[in-house]
Amino acid sequence: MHLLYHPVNHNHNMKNNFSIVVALMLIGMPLHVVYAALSCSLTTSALCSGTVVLRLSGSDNAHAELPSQATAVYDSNVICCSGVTGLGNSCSGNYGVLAKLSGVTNAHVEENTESNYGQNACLSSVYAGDIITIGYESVDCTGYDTTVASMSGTPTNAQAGGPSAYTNKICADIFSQAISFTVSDNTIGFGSLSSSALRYATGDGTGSSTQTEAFNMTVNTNAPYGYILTVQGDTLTSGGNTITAIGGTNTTPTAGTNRFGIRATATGGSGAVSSPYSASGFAYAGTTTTASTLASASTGDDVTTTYSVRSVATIEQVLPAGSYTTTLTFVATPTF
Amino acid sequence: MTIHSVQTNKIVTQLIFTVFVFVYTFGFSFVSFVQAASLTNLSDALNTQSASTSANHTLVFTTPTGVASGGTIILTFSSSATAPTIHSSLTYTDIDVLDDGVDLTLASTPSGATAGVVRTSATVITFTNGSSPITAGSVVTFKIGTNATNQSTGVFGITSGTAGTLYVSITGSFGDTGVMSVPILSNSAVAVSATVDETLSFSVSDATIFFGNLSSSFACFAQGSDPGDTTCPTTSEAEAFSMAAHTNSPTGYTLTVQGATLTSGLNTITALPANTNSSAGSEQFGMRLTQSGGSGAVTAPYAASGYAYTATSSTSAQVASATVATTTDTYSVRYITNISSSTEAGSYSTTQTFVATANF
Repeated sequence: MHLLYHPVNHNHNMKNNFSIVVALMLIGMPLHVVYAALSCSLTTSALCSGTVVLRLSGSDNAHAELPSQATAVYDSNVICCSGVTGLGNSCSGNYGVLAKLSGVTNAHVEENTESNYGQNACLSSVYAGDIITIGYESVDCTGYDTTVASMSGTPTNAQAGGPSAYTNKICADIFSQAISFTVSDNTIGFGSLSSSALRYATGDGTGSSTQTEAFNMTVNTNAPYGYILTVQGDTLTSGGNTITAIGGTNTTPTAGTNRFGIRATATGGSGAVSSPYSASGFAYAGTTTTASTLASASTGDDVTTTYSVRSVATIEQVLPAGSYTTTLTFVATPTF
Repeated sequence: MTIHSVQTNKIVTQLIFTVFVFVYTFGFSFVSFVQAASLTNLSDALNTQSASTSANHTLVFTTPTGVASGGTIILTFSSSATAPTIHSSLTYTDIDVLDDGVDLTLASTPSGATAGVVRTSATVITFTNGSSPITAGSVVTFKIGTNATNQSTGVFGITSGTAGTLYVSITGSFGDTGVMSVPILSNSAVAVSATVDETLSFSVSDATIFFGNLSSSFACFAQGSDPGDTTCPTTSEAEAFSMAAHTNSPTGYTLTVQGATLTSGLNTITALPANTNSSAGSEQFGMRLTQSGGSGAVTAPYAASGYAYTATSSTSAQVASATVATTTDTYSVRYITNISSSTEAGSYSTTQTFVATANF
């Protein structure tokens, strides 16, 4: 979020007051963690390795043309943006209008909220999850990724210039929503279960008599409100026979008690394993119709958290022979 | 008057400035929400994030502006990979819409207070509000798929595309906009397997038992330790050894014994063919068992208070069984021997073999 303000006429007293305002703005500014690295600068067409979003007749006091144009004299002053994957200058799909132009070339510019001009210069992303914010600020583009260009006046009928030409700044920000989620192994097994000892699942399916990682999951997001990682699925079942899920209380099962459970540990990032899966014992509170929260993060820190998942089972002596199976479905849901 | 006017302007300017500072400092969130019209707290919880799989969606977001009567909310599903596909038969019956947790009445088209929901295309669902506005700041929830249970239970969901990032963009005439990203994996499920083997556990506590020197005056009972040259060290019934068995066979197990009676060369001590009480001075060799623990039971004639021995060196006799899967049955085995005054002297012995057989 960005507060747009338009300063009134300044005098000496107001400059002092303005300093107070800026200070208060910084204190009161809601946390907006910017992960994208959009950067725009004035350069030449030949040197631009990114995306040209606006072409200018000069570095200041200039007319503008759309990036689709090729007027030779404009090649020496182009607004070149880069730093974000999937960046473009399309005015369709996911885009923001940087400025409106009075024509496709040799044009004056106005703010995107005006309706005097019919040509749009745009900043776009191929990813729907990228949130593009365009703003018009005086002095600087604090709170945005970058200063795209500047205008001789606001809100319309302005000459254009490079980012430093005028105090009326065209600012841009791209917040690229990011969420990655991986599961290291889709098949694990205990081997033969025992009524006289605990058995732990392993990735090779043979099981182990000592606790070990069955598989791991990673989650990484920049979602402002973090994520939750859930598990859903039945306990181990063979026809009408089941190995009882431990339930919602962390417990180290006693051998021979017919129990199935999981636990997890977390490393890296701000994610944390949720109760009842975080203690040294095991639990399993998911069902075929109910998801159980395994882990969560209250904020997305863009750092990978790795969850090491361990699973335990033991059977009672009378549990009928058979192949016991289940499918656990893990879901990572970010909140943006 | 001119001076007064300037002072008034300063006062007014200062007042405006003070109000601005106050609003910005203490009311920033409210001001920015209204200006941004960006949806907040957006999430889309799927019941599976596996690629190319039909999934239920639960979309939740907060609308700063609210939705006026007749206002639309448009959900557009896209992907960084292959786009998801809304089932072609999906209707409002597969969708629930909640305003602050309260289900709205839905139909295919809005009418009165009833809102309309329609599958606009393979990637777009359009909600048109009824006559009841959704107020600013409301939490709006869309449940799509079998998780929709209001009015009717949903049948059709949205099939995710290939692995990548699923995007749900929210637009519409209500004015607020937002987007949320959801990971789609090639497979977000973990298959877990375990084997429970057919089991029969059987143990015998002692492989050698002793009577000591037999007597025609009183009964001798076997014991686990060797008494040496002692006459009837155990004259009251006592456990000679125990056996334990358990199985997960649904039809249980059978426990048998096979072996001759006590024998010394050609001389034998007569085995009891039926459950019989001890009779000192008469040749008797027999056993009995008691059971504890699981669900097994001692078989006649070994279950009563007397003694018997019906097996031979070539014929087994059942001593116990369980008819269902059982936890550990413990059998306490007691042996008795009586001899007569005419029983031939000698060292009598036998080997008896116990066999537990599961009835899988």
